[in-house]
Amino acid sequence: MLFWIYIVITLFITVVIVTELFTEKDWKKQIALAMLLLPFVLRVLLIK
Amino acid sequence: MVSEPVILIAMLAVFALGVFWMKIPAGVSLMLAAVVGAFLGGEGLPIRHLVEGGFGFLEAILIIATAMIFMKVVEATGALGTISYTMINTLYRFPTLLMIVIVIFVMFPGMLTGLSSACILTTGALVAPGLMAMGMPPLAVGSLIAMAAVFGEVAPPICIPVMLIGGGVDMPYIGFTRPLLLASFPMAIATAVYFRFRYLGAFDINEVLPKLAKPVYKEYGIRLFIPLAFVIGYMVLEQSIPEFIPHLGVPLIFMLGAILGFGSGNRFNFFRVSRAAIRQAMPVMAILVGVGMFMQILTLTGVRGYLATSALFLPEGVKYLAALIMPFFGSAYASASIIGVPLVYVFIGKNELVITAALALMAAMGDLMPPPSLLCAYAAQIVKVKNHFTILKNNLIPIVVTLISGLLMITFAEEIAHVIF
Amino acid sequence: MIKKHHITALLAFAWAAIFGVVASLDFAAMHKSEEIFPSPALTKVGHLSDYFEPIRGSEGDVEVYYFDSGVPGGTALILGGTHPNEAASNIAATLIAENIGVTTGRVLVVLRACNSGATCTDPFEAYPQFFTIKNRNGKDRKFRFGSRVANPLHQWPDPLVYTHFPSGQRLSGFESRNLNRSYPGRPDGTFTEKIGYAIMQMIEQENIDISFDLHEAAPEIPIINAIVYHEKGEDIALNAVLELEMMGLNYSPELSPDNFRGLSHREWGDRSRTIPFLMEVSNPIQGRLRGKTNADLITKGVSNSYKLALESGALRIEYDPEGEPLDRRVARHVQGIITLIEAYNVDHKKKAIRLVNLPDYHDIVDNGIGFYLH
Repeated sequence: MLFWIYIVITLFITVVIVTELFTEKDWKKQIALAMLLLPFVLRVLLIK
Repeated sequence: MVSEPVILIAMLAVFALGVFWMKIPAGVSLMLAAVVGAFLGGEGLPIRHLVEGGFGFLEAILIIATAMIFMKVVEATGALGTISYTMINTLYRFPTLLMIVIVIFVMFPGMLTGLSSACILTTGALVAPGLMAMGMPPLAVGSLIAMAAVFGEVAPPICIPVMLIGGGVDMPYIGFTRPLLLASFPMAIATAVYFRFRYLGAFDINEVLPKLAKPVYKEYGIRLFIPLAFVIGYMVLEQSIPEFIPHLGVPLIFMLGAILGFGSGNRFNFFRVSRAAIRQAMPVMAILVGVGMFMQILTLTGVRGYLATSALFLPEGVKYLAALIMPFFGSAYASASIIGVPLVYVFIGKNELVITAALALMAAMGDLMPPPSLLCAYAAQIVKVKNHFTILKNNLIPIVVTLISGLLMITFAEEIAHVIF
Repeated sequence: MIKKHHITALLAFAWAAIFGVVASLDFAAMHKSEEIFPSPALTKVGHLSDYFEPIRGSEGDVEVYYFDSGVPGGTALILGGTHPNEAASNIAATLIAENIGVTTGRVLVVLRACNSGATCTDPFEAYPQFFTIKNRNGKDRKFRFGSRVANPLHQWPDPLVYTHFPSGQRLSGFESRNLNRSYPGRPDGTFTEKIGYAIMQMIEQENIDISFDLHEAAPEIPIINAIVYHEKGEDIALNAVLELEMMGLNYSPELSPDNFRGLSHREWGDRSRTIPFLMEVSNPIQGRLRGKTNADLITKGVSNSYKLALESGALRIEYDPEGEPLDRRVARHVQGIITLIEAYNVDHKKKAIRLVNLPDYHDIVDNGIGFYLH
């Protein structure tokens, strides 16, 4: 149960990061956001 | 085949070029440094290793993200401003006591979570506006909360660096309360007093109070503090009586606290607040992903082993100084797990509890140091100082004194053990 | 009209996607189990879930290989893969399962006690995911090299502090996924505690008389090239150590500390009739001082940094300057088991366990482990 709650929290933060990625104007910060996405997305997809 | 020192120098150079010349975020610079290091080490572009390294601090990143959302909620409800206002209004007549109370207050989340960044994100952010309104320069306020965060990470009951070292030498986390109290509290109080006399001049409370956010206690009453009470209360209970309290974990506690913010004070939009929080936390979270990649490549290419082995070759006369390299790993956890474990063996024969506590103190300084300068970066954001390295520079005296205190603990570990046990 | 920052966002996203997909393919490859060729003495293949149904079908539900002589005697358990980053443990158990013959009593073998840990590697450790050994026919046998602890995909999040059940002993949160800190486990506990509980159930229900938990440790860890014994196995351990000494093999006998809870050599012995032994060999890839981290370090065990550290005299290190090859590490485990069982048989004649067809230390070192793999 706790596991799935954490997946939901991770998914929520993933959505926020994606929103930020597409509203951020500075491409350098966009790379940082994309980099940050990697662990979040792979955890939500239960890959790593 | 490029030798380990050359790989390390190249990685540090790429990082520095990225940050200072190309002005790209530190996290991205760390990733580029890792890519260059792997290439020089003959590993090509090891994507699996880079991504895997990025996972290393996922728990800490989640804590930072959720703690930041929580803090933004508490700020939006008006609770943050009310606490800051009340603390200063109550204790302003006793500035030295006020500073000591503030430092211990900032340390509190780190004592419970073992995370230095939690101190800056929560209680550090709470007290910063008040301190600045009292006339302390923003740089000094940032420096103070960064140092307090270090001591919070070391202070008991939870000290993750000690647990990491213990995990490496099969030493259970038992009997550390007194050595950790000794390692953290005297220096924390000394730091508070130092900042009090160096930076806090006379101030007129009637001029300070109007500069603070207006308290909203009259409008909402005690329910304003329900989110904070829940978060602090649950963390205390989860750590002190884990057998009776369901384990939720720090991120979930922060998220529940944030949800409890609804109806506790001023209205707010949860998604908008979350976006603001993530935007603010992004540089540090990206640094943690980048540091993870950087560390993974240090290990892959043998640089990590080179650093740890080199520590053993220090001459006998300066063996104790080996501990001084601990902060320069740039991360308390990295330092504790990489160099802390062999150092426990270097000092074998002395009281290992005192030695480990002292090493944890030295390691915790790593959170202030570049490349990531995690605590300085966060403190800089809180007090709106542009160059976070100025916070590191401003903390030179407390850092040096704290390192000396750690060395003294190592040198006199046996004698200290006789007194405190 | 598409804005410029949307295009750069898409490019950044695409870059992350490429990295993510490439890494995911690598991560997914670790979920495939190795093929095993058990010896003709195999009488049954069961599962850990036969002893604790709720784990059936999970990543923790591993195969149990039964080698029953049909002749009354005792029962031994050989547990490999408690820590999947300790290759000699899984390989020694595999070598035994593929060669063993039993003439009295029976032997149970588990190859990957913590199978979950074999499905991932730990961040920061830069471990290779696989290593290969040439078998007797010259074909490559590929083995996974995993994490010390269970995969976070099967148990997450870690607590900040792991409180061991039932002792209340506190360890770092990471250790909550460590099978060898989770015994005796509990049926309603975490994933790892459930695996620990299932293993305890197996030990009790199968009336295991003598048991072996195989490990490796970093060269700088104090308990190394050692046999850790529960107090009730002291005579067996000391006699075996003497016997091994006469063969020219040094094993340090270490009594299991009674205040360090959750470990097999303590909890199995305290909570069941079995006499447990845990064996450690020196494995440079686990060490903090190791240099370049790759599959060669697993199989050849040559580390220049450990050689330097040894020469410095600054640390007590168990490292052969020529290297610690997997052949020798596996050979130590196999010989240790053979000799401990022989020492056990001396005082347990009615519950004896007699093994045949297993190569001894010198056979394995001379011929290489591949010679004994099918």
